[in-house]
Amino acid sequence: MRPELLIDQYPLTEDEKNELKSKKIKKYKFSIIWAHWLNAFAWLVLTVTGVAIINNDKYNLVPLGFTQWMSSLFSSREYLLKFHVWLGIFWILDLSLYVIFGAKRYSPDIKSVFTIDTDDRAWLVSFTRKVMGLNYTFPPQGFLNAGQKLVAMAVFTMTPVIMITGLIMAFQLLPPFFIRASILIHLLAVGAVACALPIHIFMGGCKAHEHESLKSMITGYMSEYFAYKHNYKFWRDVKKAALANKRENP
Amino acid sequence: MGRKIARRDFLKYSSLLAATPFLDIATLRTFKKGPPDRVGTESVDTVTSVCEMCFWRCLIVGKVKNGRLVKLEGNPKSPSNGEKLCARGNAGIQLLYDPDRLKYPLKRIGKRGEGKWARISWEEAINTIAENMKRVKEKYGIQSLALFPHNASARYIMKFYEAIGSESITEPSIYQCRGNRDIGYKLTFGTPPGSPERIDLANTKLMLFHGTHLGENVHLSQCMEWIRGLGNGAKSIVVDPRFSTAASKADIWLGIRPGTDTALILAWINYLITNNLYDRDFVSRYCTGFEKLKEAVKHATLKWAERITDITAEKIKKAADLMAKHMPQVAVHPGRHSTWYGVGDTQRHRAMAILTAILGAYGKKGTLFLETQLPIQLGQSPCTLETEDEKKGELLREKWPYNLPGTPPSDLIEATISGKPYPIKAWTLWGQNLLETTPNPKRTIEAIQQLDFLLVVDVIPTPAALYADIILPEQTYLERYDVAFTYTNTLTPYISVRQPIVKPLYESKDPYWITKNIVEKMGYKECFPYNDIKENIEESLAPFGLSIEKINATGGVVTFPGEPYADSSNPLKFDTPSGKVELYSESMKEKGLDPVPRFELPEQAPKGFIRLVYGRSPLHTMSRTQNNAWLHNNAPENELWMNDKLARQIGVKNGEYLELENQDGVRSNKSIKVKVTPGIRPDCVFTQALYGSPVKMLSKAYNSGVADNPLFTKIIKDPLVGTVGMRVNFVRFIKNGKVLDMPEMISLPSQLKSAYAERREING
Amino acid sequence: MAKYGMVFDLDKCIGCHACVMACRAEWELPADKSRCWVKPIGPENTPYGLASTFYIGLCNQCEEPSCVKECPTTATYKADNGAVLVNKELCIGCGNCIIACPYGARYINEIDKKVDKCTFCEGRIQRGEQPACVKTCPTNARIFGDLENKNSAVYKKVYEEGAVPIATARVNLHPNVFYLGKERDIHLIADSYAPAKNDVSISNQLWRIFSPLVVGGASASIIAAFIAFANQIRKGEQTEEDE
Repeated sequence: MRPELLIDQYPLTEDEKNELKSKKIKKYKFSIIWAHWLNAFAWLVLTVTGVAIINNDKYNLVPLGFTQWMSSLFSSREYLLKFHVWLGIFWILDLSLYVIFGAKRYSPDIKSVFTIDTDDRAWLVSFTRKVMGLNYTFPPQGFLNAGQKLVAMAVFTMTPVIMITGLIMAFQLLPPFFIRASILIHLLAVGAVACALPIHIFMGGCKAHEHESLKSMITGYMSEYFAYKHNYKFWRDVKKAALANKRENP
Repeated sequence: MGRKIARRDFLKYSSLLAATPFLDIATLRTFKKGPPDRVGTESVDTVTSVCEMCFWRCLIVGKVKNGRLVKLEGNPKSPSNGEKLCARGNAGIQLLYDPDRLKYPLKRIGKRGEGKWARISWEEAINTIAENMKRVKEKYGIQSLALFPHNASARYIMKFYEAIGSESITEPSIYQCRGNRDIGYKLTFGTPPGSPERIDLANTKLMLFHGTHLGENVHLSQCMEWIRGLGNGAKSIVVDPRFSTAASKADIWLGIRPGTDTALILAWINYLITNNLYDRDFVSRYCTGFEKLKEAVKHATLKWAERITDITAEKIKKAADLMAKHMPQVAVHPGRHSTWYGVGDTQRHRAMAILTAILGAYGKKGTLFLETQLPIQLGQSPCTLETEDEKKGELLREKWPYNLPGTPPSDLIEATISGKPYPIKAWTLWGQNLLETTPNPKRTIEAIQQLDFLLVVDVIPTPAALYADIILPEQTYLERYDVAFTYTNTLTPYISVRQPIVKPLYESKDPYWITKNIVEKMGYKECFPYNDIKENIEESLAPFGLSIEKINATGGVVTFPGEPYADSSNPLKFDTPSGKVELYSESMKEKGLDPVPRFELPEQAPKGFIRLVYGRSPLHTMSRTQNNAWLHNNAPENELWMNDKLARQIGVKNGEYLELENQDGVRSNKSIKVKVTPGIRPDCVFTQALYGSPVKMLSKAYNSGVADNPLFTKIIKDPLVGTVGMRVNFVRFIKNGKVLDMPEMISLPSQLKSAYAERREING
Repeated sequence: MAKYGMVFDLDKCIGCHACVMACRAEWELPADKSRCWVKPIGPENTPYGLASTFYIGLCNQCEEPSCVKECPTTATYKADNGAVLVNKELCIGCGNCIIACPYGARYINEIDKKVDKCTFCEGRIQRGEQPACVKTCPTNARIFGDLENKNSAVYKKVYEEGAVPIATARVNLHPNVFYLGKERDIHLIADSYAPAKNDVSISNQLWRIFSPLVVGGASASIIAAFIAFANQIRKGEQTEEDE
């Protein structure tokens, strides 16, 4: 392996490609994978049950046929609401474990999510150009690319808002005025994420050449080649750390 | 092809999924039934009893859930109130569970009035009381023990006082309420109109409410009969300076000048007699002194009355004609609270009785009916003591021509202060809120300061309790047995018994236990021979083949056939000296009193003041319910009704708050909210009585609303019985510290004015 | 199915508040709350003379309840028997219905923090009893029954004796509660307590603006993803080499 690969994202030779393709790199710990899929499940189910709770021809979000089908699916509207609330609480409890036990460990990662550097900005420009069918080149990306960062940002900021407003509504924690406000804020917060999620699902799961990404979110590992191409800075940092480790403990 | 099947399968499964909900677990579906059902469906015990939120004694059913009283309802078996109950009756639960209740016996450790107490044991409390009462009695004599009782719970201690020969008993509830009325009717018909008043409102053709604001005083069964009567097509006439609830339902409202009621009644009597519109048959058969009456009321013409009462002669005539038209089915309500102006209170009610008589409205359907004599008399267990053979000497009450039971409270208070004619050194207030209900509470406090010993027995702390040496917590009516009650002033007489609906709270005790223990400690072992109150009731019922169990078996009430109307088997009898209805009273003449009522103008407002009249809120029973959370929340403070023209002239707006100052410079405890309305005369203002308790421990009632009683500093006594008139006090308004100028809105006719000035000069 | 209604006979009401207290006891409500009310009005001058009466009321159980329209969760609904009920299991205590009710018949019950209102004593009426307020009313000023039963007292009061609902041309939700009384008393009540407005809360108004945006945004996002997916399939599978 050429040492300059650790300096910048040079095009790879066939040998290097094959070498990297044969190797796996660990991207996600189990705890992250669990959090992701739990979150994904919660999002999906909570959104679907949530929109079905609004069953009023003046304010419904989805056709009433769907809300009625949902409530009959859950046997009654009371169960639908209860399910929504208790799944929400389960979701809150699970994620709060991460906050309690992982606040220190994950804080640099979370910080990096909220840091948009020049490469990220360039990535966003390139992505836009790509969507518009113009010429583009992607700059090297870190652990997450800028698109993923934006989704994560939305999720990280809106999740607490959704949880708090949800609790306020479920348990009438504040006077009615605030419950009414919570309904609206809950909607807007969910809406903000809901606008980004389909793209995220498409990018992460549907784009054929990104199956690596989906696999990594299941197994935790991705090929080094994929990491080199899509998360160069992350790959580089892992390699550098491995080298340093070898030097210290020969 | 395969894909199509798959799609069809998907549809099939999804519809199956929808049709058979995966959470459909029968046991979990209970909450789909709709709103929860609180009092009704769960296992509820019911106990019948007798209400004591006021003195009317409606029959109730208590619903108890897990040992907790959750609802009170009327007893459907009751011949009077049936399943109905008023607001206060419904809210009795909140008296029981009032957090401010007296919970333990207390001993005063601060100065009198300071309200500092220490919790003591019942034993210590009983010993202290017995010691002090014994000491006072031995040192100053029997008359030095005074008792201010109220309600059923005080009847045992009253028995004891009577048995040892103390005449220093006074029931403000009679002396400040229906005393004058009872004497006035007794002098005429030989019997008082009873409580409940035996007035057949439901079956009458015309009702006359003169000085009773029925509806605002919710005497339940009477209100029910009143409205039933109106529903049956009866007409009604209401005489009141204020457009009361009763007035709003009346055919004729006579907004009378305060204090001129007797003139109106005399004019009616005169009009009916001179126009031959009276019941000649009744008068000739049952009455005496008709000619003398006719002569005595000759001066009372419609014009004369118009000048005095400020009601047009036409209206007075219209009302009289209505009476004549419906005679004898006219229900002349005898009124209840009758201590209005001091002067002339008893005579006013005598005039009403005379009017009743000449209309023949007595002992018939739709009139004042007769009390049924029950085949059985429910005796108290007799408390016969060998009274110390003490010379009673001159008794306080003997200075009055006619006596109500006991001694007038104001006389007793004055005697306590002066020590004359005999020292009064130990008071017992049993369920009696003396300081809030008896005029001039300052004077009462002066008297209390003279005492060696003050005992207060009550459910919640009254202002007088602040001065007490010992306070005892009594059980509420929902926790105790009482005597068996007989109801003979109703169309259908009946017997019922008060019994505990729930277990007593805290360390509260029943009155029989308390009295028995005190008395026995004092050495009178034989006064209360039964172990407990229940045994006492059973003993009193036993001779008549009744028992609590038997009463309960018939739904908490035993009824008897009533004999309310006179007929050949139930002839009219009058317990008067002449044995007839005394339209003219020789016995009164002998005592130097007017044998036929004469109109006397009562105390008039000094310049710059206006008369303060008062009444009741339908949510409150005198001063007893102000701390009841439910009642308080719907009627937390009183209002001052003020005539709209007067308000405009003095620049007061609806909803504004004013301070009051009476003619003796006494200011109200706080400002009162003004209700500006055309529904009151401009020569008086009205408020609901007995708000604004000075007791800080009462978290709801304390300083909530304006207390009217402290503003009643003028004492004018009725010359017949010594009761104190309470509508002879006058106020002016203070807004932002400035006294408002009070214009004279309606002036007295000049003759009245000069006559009044003359009398004042004579009387000083 | 019956359609329950109530008639208040103002000539019989003496303003004693027994109904309010019985309601409080029956439903174990907070001490300062009740599902029905008694509001004294007057004495005041009316075109028909001096009058004073009591505005007695409870939920009008309207035919076209404005509250039901504003409830986001269908907690409040019109029951088959005509009563407007609140399903406490579904209620989130947002109070949109409180704002919507022009009669002030709804409030938040501090005990369960949910909206509470008159149910015509659901439960009692199912057992064939009268509502608690009707049962205790000393003067029988409250008459309860089936408005569709021609023999019922309420039917007679409404269709024969001319009991009227408290409604205006502008705000008429077709109440099932009617008032019978002297002209002057009805005048007083209509003058002081006629329904003025049935409001929509600001949050519900904003919801009407934002919810299409949210639904639109999310839908656009889904459509975009689908288009991209379709494009990808149309172009055939791309390998990473093509990038």
